[in-house]
Amino acid sequence: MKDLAGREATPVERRLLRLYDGVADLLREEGLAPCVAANLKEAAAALCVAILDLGLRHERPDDLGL
Amino acid sequence: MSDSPYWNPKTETMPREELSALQAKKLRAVVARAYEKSAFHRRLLDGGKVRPERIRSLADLERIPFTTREAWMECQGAVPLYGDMLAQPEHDAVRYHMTSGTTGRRPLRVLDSRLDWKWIAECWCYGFHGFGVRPTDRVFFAFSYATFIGFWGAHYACEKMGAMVLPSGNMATPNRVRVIEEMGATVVCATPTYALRMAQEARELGIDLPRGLVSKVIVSGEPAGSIPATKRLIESQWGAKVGDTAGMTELGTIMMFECSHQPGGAHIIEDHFVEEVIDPATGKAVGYGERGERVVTSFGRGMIPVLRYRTRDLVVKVPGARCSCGRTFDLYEGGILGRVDDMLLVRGTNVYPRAVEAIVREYPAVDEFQIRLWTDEGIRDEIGVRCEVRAGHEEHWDRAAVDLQKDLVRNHEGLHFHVERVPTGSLPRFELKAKRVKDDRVVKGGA
Repeated sequence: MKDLAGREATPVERRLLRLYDGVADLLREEGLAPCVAANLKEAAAALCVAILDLGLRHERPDDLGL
Repeated sequence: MSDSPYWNPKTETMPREELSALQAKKLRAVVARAYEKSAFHRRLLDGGKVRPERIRSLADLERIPFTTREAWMECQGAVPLYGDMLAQPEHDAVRYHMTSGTTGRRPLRVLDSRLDWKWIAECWCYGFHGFGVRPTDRVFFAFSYATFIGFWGAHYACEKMGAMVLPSGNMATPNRVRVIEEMGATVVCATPTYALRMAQEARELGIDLPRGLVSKVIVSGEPAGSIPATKRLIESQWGAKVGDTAGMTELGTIMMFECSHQPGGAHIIEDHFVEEVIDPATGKAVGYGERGERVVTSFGRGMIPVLRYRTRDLVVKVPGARCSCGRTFDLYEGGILGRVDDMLLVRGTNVYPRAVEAIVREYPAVDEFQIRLWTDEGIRDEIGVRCEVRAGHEEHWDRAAVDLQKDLVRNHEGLHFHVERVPTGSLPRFELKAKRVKDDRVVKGGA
């Protein structure tokens, strides 16, 4: 997997993407308690910024309401 | 965590070729999303006959029509409150802000989402970390925390970095200075004008700032942060290094920052923005080293996409290699040099307030000043600089006034400047953006 600059993603970058995808998936679950949904949104937004910084992806997660 | 001098070592030192590839990919994604989600941008791109899928490289950027402040305001007037620019539902927003309105125009209203705010703070982190702020710092904000977006993002950046924030909200100036001393602030954030104002207050209170703990003053909001004489003045009055930053409400955050090497300019955060410099009259790109108008495209703000926004800021872009810090991000030499619409025309001579300030600040006898224009005998434009004299410099004033007047004339093609002393405390003081031009002419800009 390559980043947006054309570099091979490092193992840490791949783990970061997996972590973000996991949080985003969890956030798409129905019926989350407000405390869980709000904190997952905070976590997803923070992880998303790290991904943007590293140029790993640039799609915005518009379905998550971030 | 590494002890890197860069907040984002990967992109801040990225070879230019890779950086361009990164920007091109981000540009394509941002344009596609703006077209899909924002009616304003769909109209803009359709008007320019630009199909998002045809944006493939940075060279395609110039095919996108400019966004202007006027068009933005017009859309907000037509579709209150925010126009039809939003690319996300209003309910995704977590905060409202508006422009400071220093130009007297109707303010722009902006909304930002949770993710936007994380990104806004992130851009400030590039600047604060790059200037040497670390988690052990105590950072004082001389900022009112109201609808002007100002240092809000910087506050969150410091929290994110782990530094201690010392907010000052609506405190009066004497209280702010006392808190800086009592709390042992190591970094102070303010406009350049207000940094000088606090230094003046400290002297009156008997607080010796240069012997205090403040080692960095980070300024924003006015071009003066990169005027060498103003910067030296702030540095001497605080006994601290001054770092310039510049941002705008239209972007939500800063797009440039001065690094700890203080190269006499500010690095553009090029992994989150594309900055073009154009001739304001023709709209054509100008090269490195040439003065022109900034045009910005943002990759980060989600609620409000910003494509090729004409900022009216005057800049000179130079290669990042001009700085010894190792960043590959290009620089704006001398920061923001002024505004395209700042220029005053006085009897056929162009006068830029920033240039006047650069001269006036070379004179330590001047504490505060104002540029005044008026019409004499109903027909002739006159220009003068009204000065408050710094305490302790009274005996040097007569000589300084003569020299200042000569310097102003020499730098303005022989245009006569009046230099006048006014009583201490009679000129206005500013916390946010200073307004030092008082134009009382019958016809403004007349010959």
